[in-house]
Amino acid sequence: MESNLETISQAVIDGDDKQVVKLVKDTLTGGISAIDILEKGLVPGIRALGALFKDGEVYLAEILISTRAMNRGVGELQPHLAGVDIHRKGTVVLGTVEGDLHDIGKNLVGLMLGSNGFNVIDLGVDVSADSFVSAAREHNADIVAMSGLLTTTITYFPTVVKALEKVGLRSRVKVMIGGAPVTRQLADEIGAEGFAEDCASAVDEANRLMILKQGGL
Amino acid sequence: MEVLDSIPVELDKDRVIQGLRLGDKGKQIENMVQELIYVALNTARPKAIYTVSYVNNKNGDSLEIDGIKFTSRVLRANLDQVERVFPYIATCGRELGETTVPSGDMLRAFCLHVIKGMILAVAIVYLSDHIRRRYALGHISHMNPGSLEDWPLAQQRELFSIFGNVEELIGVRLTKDYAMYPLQSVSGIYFPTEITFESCQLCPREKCIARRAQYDPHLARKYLGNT
Repeated sequence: MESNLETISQAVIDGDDKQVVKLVKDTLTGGISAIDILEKGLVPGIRALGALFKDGEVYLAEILISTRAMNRGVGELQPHLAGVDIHRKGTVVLGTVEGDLHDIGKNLVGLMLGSNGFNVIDLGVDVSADSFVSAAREHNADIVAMSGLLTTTITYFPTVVKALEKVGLRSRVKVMIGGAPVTRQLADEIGAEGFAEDCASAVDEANRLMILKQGGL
Repeated sequence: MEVLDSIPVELDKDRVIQGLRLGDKGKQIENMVQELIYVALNTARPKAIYTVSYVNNKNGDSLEIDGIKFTSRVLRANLDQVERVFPYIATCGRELGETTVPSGDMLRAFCLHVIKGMILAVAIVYLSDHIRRRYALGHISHMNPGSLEDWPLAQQRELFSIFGNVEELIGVRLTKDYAMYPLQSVSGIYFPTEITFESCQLCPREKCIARRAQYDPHLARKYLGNT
């Protein structure tokens, strides 16, 4: 049955949703717990895919196919996960900043964070600073993640950071930014702790920020 | 000024799958792509607008095109010996731009996004071929505001002003933050040149999905100095 978990991971990597569903059902029947199938079968698959993406061996469409396969597997597990305390690494409030309507990259980041154990609150596009702040407060966010694809809209990043400061939330959240014109240098300039250049490195960066947060840094 | 709004569109399933970098992902995915192509072909009305403009008042890093001032060291250098240029705006069209897929289906949304981009590319190729043929030009190149820090995105405001009410003419709206809607739209200037120029040659950004030419640091220094 342990090898089933590895086969589930491989089926996720292959994006074979039918095979994922079949294997999840078989493995449940074989007595492996739903939480183990999730955390030792499905999630490792998507994690491995993230590594392949960073190495340039798979591309965006394949990430989407595989996360769809994983979600089908999670769907099979849902009835068996009711009441189970699934460990969430943290809560991320995510959005594309005000004035910007681009969403593909943001959606991929949300998908990868959600598939890798984060609770993602996706605010959509054209999100005002006030909306980021409200959501961060309401959901007790650990990370505020902003996307911007235009040189003219990434100027709103500092606005959101200041808005978080103004209401006393800044010290409770880590800020992460990303998007085509975004650089680590910009992140440093505006006081954002995190920067990610793609959806796979967004997961690594979010993990790093949670370590910082938990260490009181 | 001329509006091109009868741009023929063809989309080949294999090319789309190649554009998505999907490889062989089975019949289900192929069928989804085929279905989206069908929707796109039946919806898309890509358009382009261009005009013939004249360059003057070249001064420092600025110049005027039809009396409207643009500031960009690279543009100024490229148009140093050029008198006639062709400002343009091209779009996949509002009809397709506003087509969406069921919320939550990110794979389908991404595939449609790529297809919209491919249809914009069809419009751009049609436009450049049209300009080249109509004005018997040899080699032409282009620049787009926002593709280099040297020519900021905000200068789209000046470019749009050359045409008047662009939204009425071809359905492209420029937002207050200089984003174009539909998103799959592009604005720029074509100009005759004997050299092959792509703005990407001057851009050091790594891992850019839209890169069209390799970064050339020597060329970048030549245009921009040691910045």
